[in-house]
Amino acid sequence: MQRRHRAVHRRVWLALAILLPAILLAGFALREDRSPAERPVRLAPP
Amino acid sequence: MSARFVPVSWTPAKLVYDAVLVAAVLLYLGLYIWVAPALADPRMALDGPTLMMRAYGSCAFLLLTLALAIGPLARLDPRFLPLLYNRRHLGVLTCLVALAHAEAVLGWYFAFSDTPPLVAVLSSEPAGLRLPGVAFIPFGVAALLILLLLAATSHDFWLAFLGPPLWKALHMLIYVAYGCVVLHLGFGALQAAGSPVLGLVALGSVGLLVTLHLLAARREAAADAAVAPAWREAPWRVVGPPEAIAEGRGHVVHLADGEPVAVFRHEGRLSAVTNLCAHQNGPLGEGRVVDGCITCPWHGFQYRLEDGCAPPPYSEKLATYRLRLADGLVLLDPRPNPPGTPVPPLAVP
Repeated sequence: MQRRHRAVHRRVWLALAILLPAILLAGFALREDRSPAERPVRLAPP
Repeated sequence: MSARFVPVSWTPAKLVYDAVLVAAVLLYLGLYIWVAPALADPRMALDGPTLMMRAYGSCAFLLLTLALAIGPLARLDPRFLPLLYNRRHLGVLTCLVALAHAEAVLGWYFAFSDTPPLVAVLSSEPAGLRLPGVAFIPFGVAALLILLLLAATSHDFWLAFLGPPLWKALHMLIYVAYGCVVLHLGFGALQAAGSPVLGLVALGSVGLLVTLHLLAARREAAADAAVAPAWREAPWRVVGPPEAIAEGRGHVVHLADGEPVAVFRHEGRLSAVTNLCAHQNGPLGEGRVVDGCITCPWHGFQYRLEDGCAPPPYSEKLATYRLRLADGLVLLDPRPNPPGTPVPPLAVP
């Protein structure tokens, strides 16, 4: 049972080893150069 | 074991642990505020509030990475075990820093919102940060909610109330939170970053964490495979050579049904008890022998080696196991004795 648990744990981390860096790389690769005018702005006071 | 309820059992080790953590967080925030403006895109100079948001956010990400790295580090090298004992304090601090990040975002961008800030943050995406079909703020909110839930249930009361299996299953949500944080980072802060430093740090942190977990898993798989199948099926479980168990330390083996057993060496003799502390199922095998007694790493509960009983006036008892030597290997009888049953320690070379 313990060995099975460890095998599942290893497979999960193998999947994460691909998934997590892929998310970061995708996010970083898809970013666009934005002008300062496009950056998030603070809502103005009423 | 204690007749008086103490909300948090502070020990000098815990105080030092927390002091070091808080000092490290303050040092990181100071360094970030000092260094980040120099690395930022000159076209998009960082204002103070944005700087603080990013300082808190990156700090929470690194703390969460550290919290998840402690487990495999301790499995790879026992010298990291002291970091494991008070890992829940690190988790609570991570939650507080993440809250500071959320508060900084809400208090700056949504301070003058017509709708309540919490509604506004979930119903809007900052211009320029949107990818088709991907909204990054809900991932951050989800991660924060999970961190809040885990911090709120981190106290021993909840461990006792829910029971260790359910509590452990609940706290496995930390992996979901980490995935949400990586999505929040990848499709949020990384796209707004003017320099590649944040991306490299994030990638390095994730890579290190994944590598540590895979290394620890590989080592455990190798240890499992090292036990010959014939021995695994034998009535007695192979523990290993006696020299594999360090003086004053424990060595954990798992029986066929998954039950963990801790084998301790003290003054050249071996004793085996269940690995689960009678107090709150703490991992006794990660503790050490202090004053001739097995000492739980979580709360310091103690048990005699020869019969698994807590010394007087306490009444907790552990199941004990028989050991024998054969062909230079320590063997363990997988049938537990009733808690508190005396078993003569096994003299080993």
